[in-house]
Amino acid sequence: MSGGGRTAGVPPVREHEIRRWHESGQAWDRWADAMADPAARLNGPLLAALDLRPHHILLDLASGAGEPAITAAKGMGPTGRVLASDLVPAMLAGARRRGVSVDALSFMTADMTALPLGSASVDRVSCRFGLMFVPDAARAVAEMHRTLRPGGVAAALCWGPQADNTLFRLVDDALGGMPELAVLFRFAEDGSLASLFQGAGFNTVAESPVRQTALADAAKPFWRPTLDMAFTPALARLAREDRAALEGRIAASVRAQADQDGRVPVHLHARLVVARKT
Amino acid sequence: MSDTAKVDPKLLEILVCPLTKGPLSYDAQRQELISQQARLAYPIRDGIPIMLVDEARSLDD
Repeated sequence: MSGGGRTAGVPPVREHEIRRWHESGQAWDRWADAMADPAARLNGPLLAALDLRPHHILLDLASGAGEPAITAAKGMGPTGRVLASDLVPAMLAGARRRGVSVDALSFMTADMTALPLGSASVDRVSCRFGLMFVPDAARAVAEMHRTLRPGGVAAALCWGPQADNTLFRLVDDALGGMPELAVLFRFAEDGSLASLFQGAGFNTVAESPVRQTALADAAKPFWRPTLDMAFTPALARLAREDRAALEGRIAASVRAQADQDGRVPVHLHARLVVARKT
Repeated sequence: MSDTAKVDPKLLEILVCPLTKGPLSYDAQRQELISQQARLAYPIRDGIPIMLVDEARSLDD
């Protein structure tokens, strides 16, 4: 199965997504600290786009294991606030443990298509790798627009094409193709995120690629967090020996791609959309 | 997290009913946020408001 086989525009099913994230919560919590460095690299462009001020109220959607909410909250002043939210309470458990000592951080379980906030009540909205999982993504973006104050900014990250994301491609190839994964690349096509935000009434919208390449040690299972976090429901169905065989296939594939120093380039391509309400 | 975890008072100030966008009142004893307009009570579990209509208790039951 080649990475190019994934098609954009596949709508997810709400119940399926709730189950996926309920089952993935512990895996995300377990890997959150180990993943801190890649997370920080992805936080950078998103937080820069938000242009946060210490007095702002930031609504972070699909906060999951806690970023960028926790980092943003650390920079808030006494009147600023970060509202970390997720549809699935299991996803917020680890976020709260990690962010419990940050005064400016609040947590709530909320559906981003029916937000429990008044109109024009927040200064910024962020959503990191969450929008593609929302069946009615247009409604979610309309809710972002409604809750933002005039002049407010929304910024969201979604995955670019699977072919450009080494970790997903490695794991998906070893699994022989995973239909459940298609949703991750729903807004991978250049311009699809921008049109979603324009359709919701945002006046100024810019979409850009975020590309990074890291060199990983082929002898280490650097791909295991991706396997656990993105594929948990699929893995839960595997017998222990099948899981071991799967990991063996991934490790072999990684070794085959290593350079003479035993290193493998790990490419990442995400799409960043920044939209301002006027 | 214990059941006695407190909900953030600053959060309570800005939350509204996700269905009606109307005001909520806080029932500290039952740990619920009440929307009279929607006739729904949203639970607060471990200090985290669960602002989902699916999870809310009907006030008329």
